Amino acid sequence: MKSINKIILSLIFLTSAVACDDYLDVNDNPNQLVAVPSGDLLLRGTLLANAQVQQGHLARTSMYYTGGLIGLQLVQETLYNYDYTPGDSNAVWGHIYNGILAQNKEIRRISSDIGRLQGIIDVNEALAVGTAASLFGDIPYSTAVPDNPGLSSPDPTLDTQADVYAALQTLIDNAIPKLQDGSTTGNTNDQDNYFGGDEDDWIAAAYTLKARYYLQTKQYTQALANVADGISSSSGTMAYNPIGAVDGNSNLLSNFVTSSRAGDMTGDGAFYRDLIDPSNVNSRNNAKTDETARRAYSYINGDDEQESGIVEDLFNGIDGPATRMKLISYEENLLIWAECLIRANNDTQGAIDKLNELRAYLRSGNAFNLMNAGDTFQYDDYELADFEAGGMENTDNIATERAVLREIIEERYVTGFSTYMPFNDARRLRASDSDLIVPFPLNNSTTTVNPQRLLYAQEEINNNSNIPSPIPDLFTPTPVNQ
Amino acid sequence: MIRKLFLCVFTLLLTSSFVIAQRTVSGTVSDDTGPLPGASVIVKGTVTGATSDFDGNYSIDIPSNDAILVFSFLGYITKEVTVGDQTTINITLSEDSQALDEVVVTALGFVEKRDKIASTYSKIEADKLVQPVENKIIDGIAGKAAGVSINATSGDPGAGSNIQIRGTSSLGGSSQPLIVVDGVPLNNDNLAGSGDSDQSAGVSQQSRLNDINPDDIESFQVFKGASAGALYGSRALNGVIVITTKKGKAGKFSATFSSGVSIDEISYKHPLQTTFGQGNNGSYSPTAQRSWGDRIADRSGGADDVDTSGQFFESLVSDNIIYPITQKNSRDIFTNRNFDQVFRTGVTYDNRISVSSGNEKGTFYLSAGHVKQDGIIESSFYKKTNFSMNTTQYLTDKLKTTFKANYIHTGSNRTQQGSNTAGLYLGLLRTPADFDQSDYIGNYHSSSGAITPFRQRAYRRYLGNSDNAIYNNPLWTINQQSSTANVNRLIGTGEVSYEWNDNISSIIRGGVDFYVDSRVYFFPWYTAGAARRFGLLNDETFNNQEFNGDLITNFNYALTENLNTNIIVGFGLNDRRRKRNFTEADNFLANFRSPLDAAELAPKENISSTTGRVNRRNIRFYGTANFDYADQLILQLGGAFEKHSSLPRDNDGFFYPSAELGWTFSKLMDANAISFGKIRFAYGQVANVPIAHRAQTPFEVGTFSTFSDVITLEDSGGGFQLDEVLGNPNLKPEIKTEYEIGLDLRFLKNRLSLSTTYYTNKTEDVLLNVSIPPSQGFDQIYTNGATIENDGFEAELKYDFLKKQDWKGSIALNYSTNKNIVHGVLGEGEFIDEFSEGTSIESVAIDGQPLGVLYTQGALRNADGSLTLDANGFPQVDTGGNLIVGDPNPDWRGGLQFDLSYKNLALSALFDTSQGNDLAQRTRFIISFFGTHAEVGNTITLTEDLVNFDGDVFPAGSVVRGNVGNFGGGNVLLDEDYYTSLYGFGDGKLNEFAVDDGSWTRLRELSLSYTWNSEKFRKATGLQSVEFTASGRNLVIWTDVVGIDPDINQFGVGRARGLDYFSNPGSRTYAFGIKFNY
Repeated sequence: MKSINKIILSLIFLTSAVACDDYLDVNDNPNQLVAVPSGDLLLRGTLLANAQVQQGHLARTSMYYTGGLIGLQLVQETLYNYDYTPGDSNAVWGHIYNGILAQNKEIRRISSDIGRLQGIIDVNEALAVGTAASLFGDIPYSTAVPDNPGLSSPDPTLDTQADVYAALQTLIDNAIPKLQDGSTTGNTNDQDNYFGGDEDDWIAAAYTLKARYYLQTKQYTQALANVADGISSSSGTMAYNPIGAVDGNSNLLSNFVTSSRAGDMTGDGAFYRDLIDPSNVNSRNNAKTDETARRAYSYINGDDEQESGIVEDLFNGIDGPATRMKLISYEENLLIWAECLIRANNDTQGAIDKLNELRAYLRSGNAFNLMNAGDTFQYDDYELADFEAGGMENTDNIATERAVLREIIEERYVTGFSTYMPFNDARRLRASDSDLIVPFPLNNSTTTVNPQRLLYAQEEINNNSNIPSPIPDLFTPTPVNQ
Repeated sequence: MIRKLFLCVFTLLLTSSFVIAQRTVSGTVSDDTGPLPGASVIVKGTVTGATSDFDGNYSIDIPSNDAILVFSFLGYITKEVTVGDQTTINITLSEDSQALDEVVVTALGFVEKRDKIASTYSKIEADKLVQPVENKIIDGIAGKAAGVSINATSGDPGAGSNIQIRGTSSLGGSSQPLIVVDGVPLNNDNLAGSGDSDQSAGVSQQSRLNDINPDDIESFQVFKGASAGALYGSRALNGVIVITTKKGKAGKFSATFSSGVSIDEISYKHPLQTTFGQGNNGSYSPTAQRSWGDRIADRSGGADDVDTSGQFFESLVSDNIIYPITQKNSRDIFTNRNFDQVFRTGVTYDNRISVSSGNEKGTFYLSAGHVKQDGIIESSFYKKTNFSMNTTQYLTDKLKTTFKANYIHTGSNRTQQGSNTAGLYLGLLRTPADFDQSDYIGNYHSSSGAITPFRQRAYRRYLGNSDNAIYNNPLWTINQQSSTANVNRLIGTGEVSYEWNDNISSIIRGGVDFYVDSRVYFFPWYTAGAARRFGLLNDETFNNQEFNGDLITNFNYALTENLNTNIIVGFGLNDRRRKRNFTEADNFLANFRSPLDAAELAPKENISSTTGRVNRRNIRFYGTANFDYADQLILQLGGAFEKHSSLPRDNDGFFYPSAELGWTFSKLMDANAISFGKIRFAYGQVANVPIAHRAQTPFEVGTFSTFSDVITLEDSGGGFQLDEVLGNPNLKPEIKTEYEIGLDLRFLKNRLSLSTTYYTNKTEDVLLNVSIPPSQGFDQIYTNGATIENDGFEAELKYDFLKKQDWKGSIALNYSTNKNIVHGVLGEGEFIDEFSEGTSIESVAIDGQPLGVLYTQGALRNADGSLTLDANGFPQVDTGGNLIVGDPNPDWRGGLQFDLSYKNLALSALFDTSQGNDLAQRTRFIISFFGTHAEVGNTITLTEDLVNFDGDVFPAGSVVRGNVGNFGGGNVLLDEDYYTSLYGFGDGKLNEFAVDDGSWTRLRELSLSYTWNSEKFRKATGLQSVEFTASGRNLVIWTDVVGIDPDINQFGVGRARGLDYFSNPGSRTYAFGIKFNY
């Protein structure tokens, strides 16, 4: 009896001992990388994430709040009626912190010696974080994306909006020598959706971005100091470049209007359409200006029926699947330049000259695609007299300098269509220059003020104890605009 | 050998000599209530035997007057009678209260007597499990066991069902119990896969347990408590279902053949309005999203005025040419016809055959089955073919081998549903009453003469003048799309057992369960949805393998006269692997119309593929020790030590203890007062291990979207993104600890039995993705965090109220409550987890609440709970964030099984009920917004001045479309403004108003059967019996829910509950079967 027990027991333990060790070693991820060989492989993702930050849901929402687009039904309709909820910010917020900052941290760790790559991600980060600061006000930045994140990490604290802008100026300043350093990899160039790894383009865009932020903080002298090194030709415009025409790689507006959201949003009937409509009484067209072609190009039908009258808008309009989406443009650099010449130097003629440089570019026909062969456009040079009392751009007899500024802001409004530029300007000018604001109307009768910010993301509110409670509402200006 | 042969011949000779001397004895076997059919009569020491017939009569040849007859019947005390010179022996057997009824098969596959078990389980009789022609085993459990809830997910043929035992105990991983068949785990996957964009859409998936042929099941038991499952450690968190399959029986060759047909029809339809046409603000528009248009009856009638000068649509299903409408004149209404084009009467044919035989050297059982079901939705079908065999060989007295194999093939075509523009109901229920959907495909001619062939025509694109149909025409969904699944499955088990001596035996058992599930989803050009517009093919294959091995040794000793022990020691290995291959092709090169090879359909840049592998292994050492003292006290101690691959290597071993104590106190009492009484206590731990491969944070090929505008790295040239969910190298298993106390009582000579159990359990270190501030760079971390508690009470009562010769009747009731609560890491009422990704009403886990509560935008309320009204008397949306607006968990559930038989005619009915569960009736809610629901089709004449949502005043006497409402501030007019402002989902909508009580009671099963087995019949046909059955399922449902079976769940088999959104409807079934026994 005893011997049988021994045999049985030893059999059991023998089998188990043999089987144990290696048998359980199957927990390494068999499907996905848990380490990337080089940081440049993360670059494209950070740029696509930023394309969504700059031109996605929140940019479309900002167009609802500045007379550019109309939300017709479902979520778009409620957003249009200023029923903005913190959940609307979740996606963009996530793209900033995970899509860009967390990836940048990895890129810096893995490929710290590749200068151009490091410079690119710094500028890209500055673009994303500055956008966040402009939209949300105070945001987590200096303590964001900590080492060893997890449940035990302290909640990131909010930096003041001004501190964030200041930190970004420093970030860009330090990025420029990295870009000039020139060391790069084939992957860096290939993964760079914006400029294909061209460091000169990145440097110029970095200067324009600095100027943009100085403009937002109303430091006009500093802004002026940077535009000269900014984007100097249309080929230097930084844009998200769709590489194809399928959903996964095309223009974001195209994706949106051809999705099941077709018909939820439209440009029809928006203030913007009237502003550039030659036949409208409120039109900005004049003897020197014909916006017909640009109006056709920037038309967002929002629906995609073929017999809507403008078939081509499906293909190469601003919402065409392969149409590039501008993030920092040559036009913007000229317009900052023009505005700051007046703001910093009272140089009205200089400003008009810069405006005319832009008009020359518009006149060249390269600023937008021509939708129909018969679409006309005209952008003759302005002269000082046009802005003097009684001039074609000053029929209401305001100061010449204000008239020029007003034209510059209006041009920014039209040029910046589909970006945050109109929303940023309206908020920047509200306190001190409300006479310059493009007079787009409110969307309903119950609302009396225009939105002054977007709300903190719900997921951040839920999990970060440092987010103020209650959160500032949609109509509370951000600190730099107070 | 020669000696054996000699022995044989000798025996033969001897037998023949007896033949000469034999004579016949006959008589009747009965019990207190009357004749006992089926009792066995054997001449002791021989193989000669007989069985009593239906009237209890038997007749047997005896070799001599010395013969002793042994009368036996299961559950009765065996009697022996020496024949002597008697020729008629009438005998009355008395019931054996000790050996009474059930045996239980434990999770390890050992047979034990019910009364020797101290944990709770429910046994469902095989013949009660499934009615003839019922091919889904899981649905057969519904309503039959306390504490076990089954939810069908849709009426689609083959659709899976959700099994939940004693509430939900974890947040991630499988929520389904472990299924053990003959000691080997059986896969019960219900995988959504990549072909379903998310769980809220796509098609209903199958539950793999339903692959089993119901005819093969011998017994079906549900072990609810942790103590019974502790031996399975990390796989038994959700309970264990133990199934034993049929084996051949020694003796006569027997065969059964059954055949049946069943009819399915749609059980409930959403009521739709047919008064108003497509459009907005009372005006007709042929492209409008909603049906808030003109009054159809007010139109002039006759054909519509159309513009024939330009574009038109040329139908391919009729000769119709459709031109742009310039003036809508037609008063035609198509609601019913549109419905009837899509739904039909479903028919199922089911045929099964089994044969079995055997002798003392071995037995065999073979079966085959075939089911062919055409679903209630046109073009949906499910078919299943089973073959199984089960053989046992006694190689020597001590060495026994068992081999079992089961092959299953299923094939199906499912219908797209849910939150899905290519789904059936989404398009159908939004379609205006005045839209004729018949011409759903055709050639579009533009005004410039360009022709686009095979365009889809749907109600928002009635000219087919866009690539984007927005929502599918339902006829497109059923005729142009396909969602097929083909499964081939092989399950094999081999077992060798050896008896070392009278006290010790060992078993080596190995099992494999392989299946390949191949799914193809095909959407041709012009299917609604951006991703499908120019064609989409999803070709997905799951390759699933499970290997299981056990070595078990059983020691049985009587330590003293009164103390018996049984010790089981075992060692087990388990290896589960899955490989998933997914190929997607979109943006087809041309308008291809069948699911070909991806490379034929689309250029390379539009083809992508992913492979996902999962591998999990564990090693278990386990043991139980049973002590049985004087048939009165039972103590069972158990434990398993388990090492699992998905735990960190330096801390991968965990011990799961269990203990059960039972005391049969009735031994000390007067047997007349109480037939049986036992009190039992049980304690046990079970677990759930982390998802495999989650120790590290992976780099994914990311996607970037903010709102219906996704761009992907995959399509944009490639690259990586560090995932937003952090990995975690320090994971532990989540461990559930359960205590239960129970009382089993039987009265009136066992005719009345009551079993009650109270349990309380707590799962700690629950694994979940815990949200962290996104500004940390990551949204979530996978970790141990939450705690889940379940407390509940279960009772099962059975009374055999009739037990006469001809009449038999019984009634069985079951009742259960479960109170569930989840605690988060912070314990501050925080949001923990969302189970319903992407829905406007979410089913979520929130600290301090039951799991799955419904969470969405609610109404602004005053301190007293009344609605805060706006100036016009209407409710307002609380913009302060989501509110808990409902609980999908029932307050209690119950079942009532009623059986009555007269001679060979038997009636059986099963009612079950779920009370106090809330349901988000999102379909009703959104189609009210769309203006198609019947509740928004009323025309009323105002008897007082009323104000509408916008503040417009409508004077008394006005005839308006809408309803009168009162939110506490007096009557108001609910018209288009109201239904399109507060209904419909999205920001600013009052989603709370979609949530309502979803309680139901249903007559789940009703069946009538007749068995024809008279002697005359048997002699004439050579058959043992023929059974005829007529049955019905879901015949009546009592509920306040309108339009759908409240059991339907948009999220299928998952934790998200209480949500409906264009889910395919449920069905009502009538079945007729015939079964021949030979």
